[in-house]
Amino acid sequence: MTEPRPADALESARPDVELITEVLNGNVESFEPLIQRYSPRLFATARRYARRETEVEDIVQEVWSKAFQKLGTWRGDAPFEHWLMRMAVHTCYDFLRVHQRNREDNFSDITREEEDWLERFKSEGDARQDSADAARLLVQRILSDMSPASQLIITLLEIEDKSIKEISAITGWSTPLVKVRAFRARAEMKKRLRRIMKDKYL
Amino acid sequence: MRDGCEPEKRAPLMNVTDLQKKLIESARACPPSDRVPYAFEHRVMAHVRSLRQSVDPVQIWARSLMQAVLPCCALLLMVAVWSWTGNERPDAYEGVDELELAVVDSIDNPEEGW
Repeated sequence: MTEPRPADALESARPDVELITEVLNGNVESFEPLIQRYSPRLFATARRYARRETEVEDIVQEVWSKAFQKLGTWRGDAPFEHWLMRMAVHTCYDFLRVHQRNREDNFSDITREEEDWLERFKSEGDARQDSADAARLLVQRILSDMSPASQLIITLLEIEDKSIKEISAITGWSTPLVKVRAFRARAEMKKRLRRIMKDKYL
Repeated sequence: MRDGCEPEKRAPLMNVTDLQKKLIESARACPPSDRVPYAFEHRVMAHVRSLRQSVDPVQIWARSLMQAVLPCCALLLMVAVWSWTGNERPDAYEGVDELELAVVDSIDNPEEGW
């Protein structure tokens, strides 16, 4: 890693509004500090929805591309980060819809670690935290076989612990619709888990 | 109290609700990495610059129209104010009678008209 130059440090300390105004006035270079500032969050979000690193990079680049083109629509009454994250969730949702997999997966490709995690849970009724990574991958595998709306709801509601109201604001869905989709998503996830258990242990 | 033989020791039945809860807890406890690939911002900036260079004529036309809205409104207001205040002058009506006379006269005597 290279040491940040003093000029870069100065750039990164400038407020979002100032940088955005400059970009809108034609100084494209002022967009770079914004990319440096918010890319880590965008990558963490994109990695929840896409497994391959090339797909994650494409999603984040798409978010930045949209942000640049629609920068004039940011009104400034809400933080830029919220506006950007809403755009990121929409881009991830579009990605899920385009890359919908065949949902008749029989879970035969479960890895050894994931199987161990399930085995431990089955025998002990609990699983150690040191194998949390296997659990996370297992959740991602189960979610990837669910509908895009269900994946999005489970990720936002259960994993990112957002409220119904927040999800409604992010997705643009009404509150009752979010509740209905959350109910369906939980049921769908349970159904998938039952199928795994049936395939593996019966 | 148990009588006779021990019942077969079985693994506890898998509770799907508990399993779901546990999986979600584990996924929450292990958030994905926020690592950004090396020089990613340069890649995005190159893309952004190319976006800027590829000019869309429709967009330019729309932007010009939007920019023209304010001057047009100002001009409209100025003309409106001028027409209201300018016609208030009494000498503005001086030529009207002569015009009316010329028009009516040409209708009454068409052979004398142009």
